[in-house]
Amino acid sequence: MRGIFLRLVAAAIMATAVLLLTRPAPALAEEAPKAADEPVAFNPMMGALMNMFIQPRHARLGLAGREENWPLTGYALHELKQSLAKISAAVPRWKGLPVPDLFDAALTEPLAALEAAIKAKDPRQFGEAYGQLTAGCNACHATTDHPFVVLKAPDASEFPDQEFKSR
Amino acid sequence: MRMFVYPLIACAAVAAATGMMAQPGAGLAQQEPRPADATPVPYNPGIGDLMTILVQPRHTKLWLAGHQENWPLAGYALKEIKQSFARIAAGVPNYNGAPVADLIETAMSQPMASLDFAIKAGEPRQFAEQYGKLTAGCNACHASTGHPYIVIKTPEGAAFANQEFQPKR
Repeated sequence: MRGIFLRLVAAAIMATAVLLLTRPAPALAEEAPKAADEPVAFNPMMGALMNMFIQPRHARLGLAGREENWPLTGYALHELKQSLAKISAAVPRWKGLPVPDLFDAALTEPLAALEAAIKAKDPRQFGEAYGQLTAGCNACHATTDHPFVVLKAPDASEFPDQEFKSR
Repeated sequence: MRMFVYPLIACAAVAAATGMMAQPGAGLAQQEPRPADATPVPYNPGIGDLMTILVQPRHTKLWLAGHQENWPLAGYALKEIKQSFARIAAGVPNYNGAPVADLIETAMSQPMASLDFAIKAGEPRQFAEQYGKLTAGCNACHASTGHPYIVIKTPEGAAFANQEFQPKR
């Protein structure tokens, strides 16, 4: 089974490499260096977007769900979905791969399961779905050649100024 | 895990092949564009995004600096928060029908002015008191905009393991 997996990964990587190599070369004007005093708008790419918008929401979702703070959990899930949609639009193709399709394959099912768990206020179901979501994140990282970016359920809060317990 | 890996890989391989076939000259340009082939739209951060990346970290840093009586750093954190609020008010002037500049003004201007004063005076007791008022202002604003479950508090513990908050002696 592992052999098939590795061959599939290799095939995906090879296909991506061919795709990238066969792309037309960018015009020289695009590569011209900017003057030192000319500001360039910050255009965050996939890694920056994940850092700024996804990872904090993934953590907050886990922390709120663990405390069974369902309104906050629902909000974190909503924000996470919204960010994923915006990232799909901002970076529709990454390393030649279709980001909306990757997100869909990795996350749609666990996101729906999380929504159901939150609506049912079911901590066991939530924990299971959150694990599936995290596995989906890591599967996507592995598929896009970043298997070393490994997310997990938060061990502790990284937001010392936020209350996750229900009032 | 496997249940995600296989669809992802299949989707990646198919997409790569589709991408190759869709290169200019392949005669597929007239096809309806798939989302992955759409023109990128810049990520336009909403208020939740801006709070996450600009305000919440500064709120924490402000406390960590003031608590250590590191007044230059506390002053800097306060200035950064004020600047972030100004940018947010300009970037998202209206949120759920409420005027953001007015909300920020109502909730924040008094405690921020008092914090400025406490920092300039190097007064830890007054700083802590006004920081509490600032935090209460955050929560009042969250409640009035339909998010009472977003509860900010005085930090318990550190969040920035790679930053020193103690002043240089």
